Amino acid sequence: MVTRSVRPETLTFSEKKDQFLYRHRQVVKGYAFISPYILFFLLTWLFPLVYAVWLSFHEFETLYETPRFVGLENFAMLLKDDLYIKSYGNVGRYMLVQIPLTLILSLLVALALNNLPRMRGMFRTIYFVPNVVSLTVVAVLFTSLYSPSMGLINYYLGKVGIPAQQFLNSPKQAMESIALMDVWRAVGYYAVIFLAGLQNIPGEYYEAARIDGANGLQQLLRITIPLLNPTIVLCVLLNGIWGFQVFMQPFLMTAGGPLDSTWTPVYLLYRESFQYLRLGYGAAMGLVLTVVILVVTILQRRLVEREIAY
Amino acid sequence: MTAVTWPRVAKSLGLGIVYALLAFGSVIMLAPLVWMLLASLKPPTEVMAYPPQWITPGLGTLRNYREAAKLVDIPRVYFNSTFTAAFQVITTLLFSSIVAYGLTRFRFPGRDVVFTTCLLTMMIPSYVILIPLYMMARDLHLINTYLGLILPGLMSPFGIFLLRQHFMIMPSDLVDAAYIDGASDMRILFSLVLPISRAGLTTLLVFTAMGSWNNFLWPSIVVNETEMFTIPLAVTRFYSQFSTDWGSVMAFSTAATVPILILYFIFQRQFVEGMAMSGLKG
Repeated sequence: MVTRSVRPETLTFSEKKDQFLYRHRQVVKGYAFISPYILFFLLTWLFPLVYAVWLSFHEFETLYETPRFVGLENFAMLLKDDLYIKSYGNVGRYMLVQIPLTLILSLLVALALNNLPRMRGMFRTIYFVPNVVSLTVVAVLFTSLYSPSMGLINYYLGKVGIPAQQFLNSPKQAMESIALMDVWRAVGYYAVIFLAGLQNIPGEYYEAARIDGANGLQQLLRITIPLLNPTIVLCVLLNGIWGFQVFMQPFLMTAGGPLDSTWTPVYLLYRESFQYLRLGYGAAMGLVLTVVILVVTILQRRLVEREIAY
Repeated sequence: MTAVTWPRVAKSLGLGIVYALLAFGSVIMLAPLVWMLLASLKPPTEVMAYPPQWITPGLGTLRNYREAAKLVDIPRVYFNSTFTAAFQVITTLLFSSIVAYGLTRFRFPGRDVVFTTCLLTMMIPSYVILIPLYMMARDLHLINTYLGLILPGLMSPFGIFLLRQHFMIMPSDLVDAAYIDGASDMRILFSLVLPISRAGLTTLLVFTAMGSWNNFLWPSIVVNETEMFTIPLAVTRFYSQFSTDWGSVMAFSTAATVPILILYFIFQRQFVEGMAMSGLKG
């Protein structure tokens, strides 16, 4: 047996041969071990991805006709598709509510839990519960809670003197109502991530700050937030990526309405492809969405990192 | 004396407020689910009555569940979901372990490229490949089959990534020693590496099982016969935008949620870690 650390010039011929075989075996065995993944990757990722790109340059209106090459026509149509452009505005409105609220609330919960002498585990378990429930169930359940005339939420709003809201029935509130539901789902999730981040901050930092006379707020702004920066960036990024991909909530709760206020890019992709069977157009939508998400992710990353940089 | 006690009083007062706020938040987190459970047990006419009441006369009836069972073959739906999830969990754990072991244990040209593709697939939104995947499934006659349900989740690049991270921190002396003692690679993987990486495997198990159990989009495309419905598809079966039988919806939603919740409360640490890890998946 030859170990890799032995330098080649000190080896005899037979040892060199052994080492060659050893390396050779590494290659053969390596590929043997990863072969399931290579097969899976080629079949369920690479081929479909190339296929999607190919499709996006074709008109393919029913499942059984032959695709017709149309060049960039699908993409040109997308630019003129008002509903598609509106769908980005809709997810923008969603993110405007969902990202800041989730960020602030989950940070507060994490900070509160971090300073708790006991029952921390119990609260963490409770706040995480919404993540365990399937989104399908959550969406259906909240549709009933949001009901303007019979819903639980309007009932309690009435109790504290707030007039009944239209929620999902109003084009001004539907997307925001969906966003609030997703805040409910996401708070516990990010609180767990932030809590892990908080526990990585060494206690000596706070001790030193206290000795220097820093109060609680100063400690929060000068130590906690800056040191949590990577986690905050991650939270904003993930929420942004997921925000663009909102689909099931409007699909189940509002069917794109009222007045087209809850169409999202993925929902339109779904409708074009699987309800209207315009597969070429749908594929173009998917590619544009991917590019948008990648670009926004990169921009957001730069922006957020600069803003919270210390 | 007072100089010491006053901050202490203020502190315990502050702590009391923190507890109160956290408790209020907990109520908001749990109330919708408790409402769902109670609503499922109300007489059908009381489910969406106004003003809403948590406890109504006749609470505890199973009529909603019986109604739901008329619309959907509930045992069959449970079987479909469980079978799909179990299959995907087993293959994902098995293949991810083998591939991650290959990626950490051996050196070969292209290894880093392969690992990079793993990370890339985690970044690409799966919607892009939805249409081609559907067309492939159709051409291979996988519509309304278990294989069609299972195939895209047979393996997970995220699982490979996760287990590779776990295998990397394993002391290589240990593995080398086993190798010198004549153990085969499979033997090393299954009786040395995997037992040590139990935490990573549990995380992956919970992550895969939850993902499969709650998945809606792919099943909704590859399945259109009621006999092949999974639980999330069946939830929508009772539910249409204009006339909804809320009693059945609440009953079936509760039935879909309770098993997961019980497992969650038993294995909550594994759940939280497993699902928080999914943040890496994006």
